[in-house]
Amino acid sequence: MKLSPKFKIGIIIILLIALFTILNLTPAKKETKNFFYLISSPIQKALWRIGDNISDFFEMVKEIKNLKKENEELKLKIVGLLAENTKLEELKRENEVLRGALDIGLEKEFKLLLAEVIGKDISQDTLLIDLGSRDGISKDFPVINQQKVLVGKIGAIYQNHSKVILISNKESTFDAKILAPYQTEGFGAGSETETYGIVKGKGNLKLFLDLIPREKEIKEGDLVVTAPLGGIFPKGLLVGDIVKVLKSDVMAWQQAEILPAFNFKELEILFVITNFK
Amino acid sequence: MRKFLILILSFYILALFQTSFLVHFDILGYVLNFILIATILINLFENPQKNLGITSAFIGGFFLDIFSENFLGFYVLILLGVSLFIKFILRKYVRIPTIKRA
Repeated sequence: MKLSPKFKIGIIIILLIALFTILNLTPAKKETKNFFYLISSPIQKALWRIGDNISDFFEMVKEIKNLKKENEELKLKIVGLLAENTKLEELKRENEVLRGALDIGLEKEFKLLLAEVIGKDISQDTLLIDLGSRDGISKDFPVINQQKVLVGKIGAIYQNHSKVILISNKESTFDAKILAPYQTEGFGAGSETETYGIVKGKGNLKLFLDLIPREKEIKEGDLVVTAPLGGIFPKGLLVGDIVKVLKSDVMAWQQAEILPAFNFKELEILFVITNFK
Repeated sequence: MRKFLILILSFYILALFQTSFLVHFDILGYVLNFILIATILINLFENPQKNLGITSAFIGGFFLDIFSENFLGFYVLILLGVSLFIKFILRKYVRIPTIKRA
């Protein structure tokens, strides 16, 4: 009897299924697997280690690509944050200046406009601020800082910017009062007196007080404030303090050198007085 | 017999390579099955009347079963099924033209 090929295949498959079923149901499965694991483990370990190292290498390469991208993204983020930080710093500074001005009640005394310094010229004793005719600025408006220190007055005006002529500019001249608390000798000794003079700019951030009556006693450290006589500046704005008194017998008047109360390098935010009584 | 031994050794090495080395380089969670590929190639290129493809399916399936967590016979039956299907198609529907010597 000759079996057909299909029948043979069928029998082989059935026998295989039977064989594998028996193997799976008996401990022979475990024994078989264990045998192969035992003889293969050295090769498997070596192959595993090599595969692991190579895949680690590729992971690293992939990660480097990502790191580069991530690094670029973070750099962009840093630039954005720096810009934001600068803006916030500026706002903080402006806020502090305004608070300072509020503390001394500047807004009650004058009508003010906040201006930012955008340029400085030491040789000309001028500043450039970001307010112009568009903001309602006019010539000769007084300019002060948040400590109520006189800085100068508006000179040339442009649409968006203005030049501030510092009080130390050679063209600057105005009346001032010396705050000497008590006259110790001579006429009016023991009482508070008023000494007036004229402040003139000498250029290079230097000030000069002229036309002080000879009989008036002034000394180094005396404060100089604006006087209402000229009408250009409101009264009582701090100008500076006397650093050197120049008095001689041949001179009809006394003179004094004044150190301005503002620090030119620190001038960043100023106030323009648009109206004062 | 020599062919048979070479087949056993080759599939053993392929099974080890596949289960210990290639598992590190999966593509979307799938690992290349070289034993399956080899079985298909053997079945495709051998004479449809011969049975080396069936034998290789059995050996390859067995080694895959040994190194996998499936029950014994899982891959054997799959590879045998694939082999028999290829053989059936080749024998029944494919005619390979041959040049006979005069």
